[in-house]
Amino acid sequence: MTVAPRGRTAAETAEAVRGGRTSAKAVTEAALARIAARDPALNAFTDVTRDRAIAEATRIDRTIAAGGDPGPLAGVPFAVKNLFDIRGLVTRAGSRINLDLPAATRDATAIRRLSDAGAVLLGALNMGEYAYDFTGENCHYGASRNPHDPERMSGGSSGGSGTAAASGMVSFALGSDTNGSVRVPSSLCGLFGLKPTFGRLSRAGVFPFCASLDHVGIMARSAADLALVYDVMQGPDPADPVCTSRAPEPAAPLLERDGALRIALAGGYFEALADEDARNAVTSVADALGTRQRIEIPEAATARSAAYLITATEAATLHRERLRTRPLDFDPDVRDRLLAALLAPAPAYIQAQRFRRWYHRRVMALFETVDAIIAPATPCSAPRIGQKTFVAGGETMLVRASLGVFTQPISFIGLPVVVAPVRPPPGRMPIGVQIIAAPWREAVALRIAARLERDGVCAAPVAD
Amino acid sequence: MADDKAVDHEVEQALAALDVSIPAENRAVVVAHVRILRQHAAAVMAFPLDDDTEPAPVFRP
Repeated sequence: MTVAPRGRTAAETAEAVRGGRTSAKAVTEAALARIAARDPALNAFTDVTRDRAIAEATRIDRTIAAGGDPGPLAGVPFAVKNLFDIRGLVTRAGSRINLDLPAATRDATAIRRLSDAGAVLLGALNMGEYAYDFTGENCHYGASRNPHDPERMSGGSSGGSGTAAASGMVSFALGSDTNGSVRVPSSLCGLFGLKPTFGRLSRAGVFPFCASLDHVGIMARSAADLALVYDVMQGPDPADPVCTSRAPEPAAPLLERDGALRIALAGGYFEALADEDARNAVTSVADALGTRQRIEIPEAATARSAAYLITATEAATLHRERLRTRPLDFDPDVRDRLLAALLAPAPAYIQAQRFRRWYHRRVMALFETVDAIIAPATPCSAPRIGQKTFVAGGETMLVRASLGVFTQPISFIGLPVVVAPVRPPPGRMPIGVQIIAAPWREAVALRIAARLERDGVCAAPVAD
Repeated sequence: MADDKAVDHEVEQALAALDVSIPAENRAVVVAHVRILRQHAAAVMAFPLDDDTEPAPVFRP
């Protein structure tokens, strides 16, 4: 029997492989066939690691045949944003410039942990150049397209990750999230997405964007799959100085836990800049959870400004030499923002880092009275590919810079967030809400997402 | 706008100092991004902070 990733959760696929109802090789071949059929129109993959995938699947099947345990993700197909190191491949980070670098000699920590748990890597995924993007567009490799409507954006910068998971080419995908690059495509592609607490998951072997804000994240089609994958990826890693020394805190066993949670809605800034789809999504979730309390996240607009400054300044510093020597090899949309950032005043950067300390204290105080905060993930659903501006809350904003207007103030202080895709009305594109918890309380956000999924308010069906 | 001209001149000088050459039409885009960046910088710089508020360059929640 062949079990393709399409329509099945990662947990169901692993259970079928472990139980001998299908083989890892059959699952892998079905996934590769689906990539061959769908990717030419959707442009999610930049590299398909066919030989490696077949070899890994064969090894898993042999382990099972010998009575061994292949791990909790046995035979589950996944792929990663192409800024993760994959042994034998050049780490593109969405750029043409990086193609001149040597191939990676080892996998990123995140990939190693997933492979050790039995997951099968199918390849590297398209992304916005150097992750400086919310659209999923890329002038070198083309836009990754939204499988719910290929004329629309996947969101970025982990655009290929959104496209691959939402179209059922893989069961889950890894991305990175500095200002919203997992949460924006999760919202636009109708996926469950997890951006854990800053430092929770190792970034070793991941091409950097902005060291102060970079996170690794996960995109999948159920809350349980997010928890399953997240639990496997946790744990200290001396190769990443930011990675926590805390012991893993498994979330999957807590998803069904009973007990009331104190949940509030983010008001003010998060209501004013949302369009009708985004506001309706929050209302659906609030109604399902019986939530009426509104709280104000203080100075969210200033937090966004500070995140913008820190990101621009650190990224421009990182790429300064490449900007000087190879300016014409950049995506112009990225290069021109980075060049502008080279003129950022140093006092503003330091002040942004000082403000970050102030803002962290103030937001932590909110979590003394609530366990989670609900906010829109994006101000609108997926814009059309090539669209430069959008209107939300009566304001015209730049797509590339502003789709993350609701995500930036949250990742700025490293809070864990789950994006839950709200079931859209007929004829409408998907859109997600953020479930924001206190640091290290990923399980709280995942629990709420799982409840919304059980209640039928949120769902991530494969987009055919 | 006079301000645009001043920023444009500044960008021109900075690109020359960095020895960076880009198509002329893109300089206006860089100028536009400088203006956006400075709006964000102004918002952050205007925010009152106590003297003992330390920066958080290596952030640990």
